[in-house]
Amino acid sequence: MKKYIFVFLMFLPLIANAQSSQEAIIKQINTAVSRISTMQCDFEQTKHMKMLNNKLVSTGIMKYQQSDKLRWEYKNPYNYIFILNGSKVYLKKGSRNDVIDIKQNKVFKSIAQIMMNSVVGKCLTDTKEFDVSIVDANNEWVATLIPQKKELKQMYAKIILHFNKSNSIIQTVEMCEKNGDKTIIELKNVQLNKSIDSSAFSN
Amino acid sequence: MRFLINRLLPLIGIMALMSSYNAKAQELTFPVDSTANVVYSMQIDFENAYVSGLCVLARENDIIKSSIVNEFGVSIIDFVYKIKKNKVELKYVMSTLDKWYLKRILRKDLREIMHIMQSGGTEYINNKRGLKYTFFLMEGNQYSKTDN
Repeated sequence: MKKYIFVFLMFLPLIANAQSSQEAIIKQINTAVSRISTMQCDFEQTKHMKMLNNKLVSTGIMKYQQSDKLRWEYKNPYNYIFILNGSKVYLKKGSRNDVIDIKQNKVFKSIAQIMMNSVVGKCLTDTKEFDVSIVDANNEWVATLIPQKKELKQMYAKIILHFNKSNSIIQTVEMCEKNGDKTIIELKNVQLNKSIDSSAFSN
Repeated sequence: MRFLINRLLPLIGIMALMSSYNAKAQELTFPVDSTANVVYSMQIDFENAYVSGLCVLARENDIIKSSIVNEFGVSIIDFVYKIKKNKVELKYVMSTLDKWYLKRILRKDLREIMHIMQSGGTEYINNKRGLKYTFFLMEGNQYSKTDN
């Protein structure tokens, strides 16, 4: 018994060190995120379908304005616009325009929150929503988020965020579903803190 | 008689193959072999809601494998259609549709949709359940790629 306690105590500093290292990384990311008032980029989304051994690639643009405005626009191969502005979600597809109040729709609220928070990396400290672990890997930090709440848990087994170490900004989001499918979103040509016309976030 | 059958058989084969093609667009409406997938833009209208996205069809011998995903890449339905048995098996259904009575309806409706897609149609309405399925072929089908 004494032997096991001794071995555990030997590893305790390592565990403590890992935790403090993770906290330091999260602190650095949060500092960088707090300095982002706007963010714009191109994105490429690849959906890997396990059953078909096939992938679908789509591209578009993203615009974010602190703290609750997001425009996610698909341009190829389909046109589809998702706008989050406060508690409203606007969906545009073809001639169809829908407005959803996320206060009354839990599923959409979860989707809106994960999109908003994951594009800038705000979800790392939200322990109610996710169980977070971070790994320092060469040129990036890799954060694995395990959903804790029912709405996201039903959709995703885990979400993985890749942060560029040089500027603490997200470069890739991996969303791993329970059926074995995976969606990878790469953010490209990121521009920070440039002015965005308010019409980008309106219906 | 044999002469007639021998002459007609290739023609019948060609006509069967052509029924899987949209003659106007010169594109496949239904996979005929494993070399080319088919991608549709799809929408399912329920009474008070709708789901939209893409439907990818791939063929392995006499089986069609299909995934319906929304625009964000979230999986809605994965299913297999066995052509000879004319039977749909659901492999995955998103949680909001994962109810035994909904799955029963989906199996039947997807089977009908497989027939309609083969003949180049773009719509199926389940009047009894108030469901409407619309699907349009995505031009080019170039963005469905083999995952290496």
